[in-house]
Amino acid sequence: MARYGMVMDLRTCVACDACSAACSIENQTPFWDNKFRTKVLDIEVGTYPEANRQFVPTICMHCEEPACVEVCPSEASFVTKDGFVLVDYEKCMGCRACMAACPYDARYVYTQENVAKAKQLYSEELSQHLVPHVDKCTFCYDRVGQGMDPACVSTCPEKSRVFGDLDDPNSEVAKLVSAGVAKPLRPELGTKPKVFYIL
Amino acid sequence: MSHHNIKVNDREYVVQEAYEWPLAVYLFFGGLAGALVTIGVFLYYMGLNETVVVVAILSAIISMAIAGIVLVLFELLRPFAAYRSLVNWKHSGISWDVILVSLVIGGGLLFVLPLLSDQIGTLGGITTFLSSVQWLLGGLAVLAGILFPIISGGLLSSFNSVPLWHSPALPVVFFLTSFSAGFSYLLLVSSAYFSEGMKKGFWGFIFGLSLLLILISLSYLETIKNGPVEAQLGLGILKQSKPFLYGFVLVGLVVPAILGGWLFFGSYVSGIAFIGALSVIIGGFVLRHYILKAGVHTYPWPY
Repeated sequence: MARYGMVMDLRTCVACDACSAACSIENQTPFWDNKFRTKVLDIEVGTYPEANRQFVPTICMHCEEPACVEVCPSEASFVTKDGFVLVDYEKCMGCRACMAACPYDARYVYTQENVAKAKQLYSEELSQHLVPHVDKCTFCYDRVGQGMDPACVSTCPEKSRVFGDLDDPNSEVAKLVSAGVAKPLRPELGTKPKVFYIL
Repeated sequence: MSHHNIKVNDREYVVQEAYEWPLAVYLFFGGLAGALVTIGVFLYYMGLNETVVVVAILSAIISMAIAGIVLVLFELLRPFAAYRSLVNWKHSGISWDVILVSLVIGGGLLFVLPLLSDQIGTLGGITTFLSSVQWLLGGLAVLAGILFPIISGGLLSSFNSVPLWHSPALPVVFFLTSFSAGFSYLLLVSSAYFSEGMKKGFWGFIFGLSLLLILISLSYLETIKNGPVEAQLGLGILKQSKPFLYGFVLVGLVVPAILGGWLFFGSYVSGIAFIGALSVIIGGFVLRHYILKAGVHTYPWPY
């Protein structure tokens, strides 16, 4: 069984937001309400005269010890056998405990208004979001199941995102992680994230 | 979500927005309900006037059912899916919270029904049966009533991404404030049924709980001073909030301790008791509300 992970290379990200757009189209996230499963933050690093601009792509870390799954009272948040952290929309009652527990701010609320708008945009039959729920990145679970990369990875023109099996020593992600080039965020929290960053 | 970022030394921090005032109301009324049911059952077995017990338990159930649960249900994205919160009890603290609240309400209601048999009759033998297992129902309600504030405080303190909450002090603080609010509520609504000695005894409890609360709050503050930046930023928010300083520190901590000591050791003055009891209740809610508002966490920069 593969253990999928992602590496984000901050040296090459140019904040073109193609990842957010591709994800929005693929997963019907409420872009009209400025809500995205993956977004690129534009931050200032350092102080004048050494101040610099840094683009930081964010996404669900698909942690191996996910705090969101542990707190979920309705078993809506769960981990698949191959390590994807997903939300069962039908089971989610929207208590937001997972949002409070997630140290990476990876979740947002797909409201009743968002559901209505999605049905209007994509039609009742084709809308992926039929009930309000807490939403997050799935690593494009369906695409990966069909042998494709997640939409954000396929779209990135700078190849700033690399996706693959962390347990496959020949995969690029495994090489970057095992060499210590790519590092996880906030490892001290013990969540064991599967998304790594190259600074 | 839109965040209000706070920047310190190249790192950015945000205040959590998942939990807002309706949850504070739920936590407050849940703790109050648990304390009232517990105190009510103890008073019953101490042989106190049954009316007081009925008032304590029924008002606990009403406060929880109406103000707490309904408010939180409306906060959910899908209120009708709330029953699912009972399923993940093996892992989720929230599940236990919901189970305990249900036990407080259900156990309390069934415990009190036999006491109302003069008014409602035997309900086809139901109250007769309930009175035969009353000790069991009372025991369950008391256990749930004691555990509810502890578990709900523990739930917040389990979030290690929010260091202000991530402290063993929180469950203790929630427990202490719930029970001092419980005694205070009883003094407010059923004072006429208590002897002066009884009321002084209640104030003795409130005085002791207030002193403990002050001690724990001070040690909590001391750990935060040397703790993570997020916790210090949260503390900064609390220090800048006048409603917190007046509503909790002054009204919820200092006033109950001073008035509690006066009423317990000195002469009993009803007007002062009224002010003291009201202060405790206000402080209990303000504490929960502002603890949630000060939940600061790192916005995860890779630095």
